[in-house]
Amino acid sequence: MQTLEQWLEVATQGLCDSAAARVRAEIGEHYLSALESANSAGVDQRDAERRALHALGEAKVANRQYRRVLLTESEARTLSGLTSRWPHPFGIFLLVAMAIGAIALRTALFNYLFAYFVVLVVLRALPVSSIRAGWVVRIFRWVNLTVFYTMWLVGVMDLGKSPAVLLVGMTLFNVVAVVHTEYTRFVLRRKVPVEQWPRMLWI
Amino acid sequence: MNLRGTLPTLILEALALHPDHGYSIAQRIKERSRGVLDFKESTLYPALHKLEQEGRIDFSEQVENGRTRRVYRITHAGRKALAKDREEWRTLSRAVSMILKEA
Repeated sequence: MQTLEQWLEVATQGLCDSAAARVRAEIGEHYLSALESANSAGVDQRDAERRALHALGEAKVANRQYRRVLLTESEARTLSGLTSRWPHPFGIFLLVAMAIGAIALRTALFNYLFAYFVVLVVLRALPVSSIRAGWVVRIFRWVNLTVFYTMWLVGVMDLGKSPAVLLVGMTLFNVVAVVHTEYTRFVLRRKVPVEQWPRMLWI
Repeated sequence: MNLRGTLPTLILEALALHPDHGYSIAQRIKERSRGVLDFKESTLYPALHKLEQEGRIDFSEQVENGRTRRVYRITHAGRKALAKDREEWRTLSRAVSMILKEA
């Protein structure tokens, strides 16, 4: 017979630590209440445990439902990364790689890309991208993104004389970046209650 | 009977009477429907989380018999949402009844 611990193990899979702790606390309390109720009705302990677990339903189904409303591990990591004014470590890596490339190769393309990343990092550090941002600030943010994506494309086109496949790739990258940003905001807004939003969410 | 989509309304209805904890909410819904509305009890909590995120309920923690219980209560926004849900349900129910009588 499945135990409550085994049930919880499956039901909390992939949830962030705080969400998993909350699920454990509320389901643990629910289970104890069910046992109490069954015991007071004269049901023996073993049968009461079996009934209480059966009443909870399938742990996998519960896990799917919890993932829709609570933060998963990866979303919690994203949230933690986005509340920092500093760029993601991968962004820093790209910046350093571009700087080394610009110095080593001394090509116009690398100089351009390096300048592009520096401006992007500076813009990201400006306090204009909070999750609480109003429409004016949001429009400003998207104008910024559009300008810099365009700069990126123009730079690659003009200076690099790049093949079409790279241009298509970069365009797709820009579209994915925009969709990813909007989707992340949507998920976080949906899952984190308004009063618990971080004061500043840099996306 | 499948409760898909109606569980949040039933939770709000249960909490409109008085604040309560999860297990008791589940039992009250089952009892008040005389067992017709049966559901897996773990599905109650994701629905509670969603209602909480929407600001329709809030909770406080109370210690009973040495155990910490989360007691949920309906908010003003929750009461407004419940009134709207009731009205929609009555309209839908009247419409379906009229059609079924015709058949």
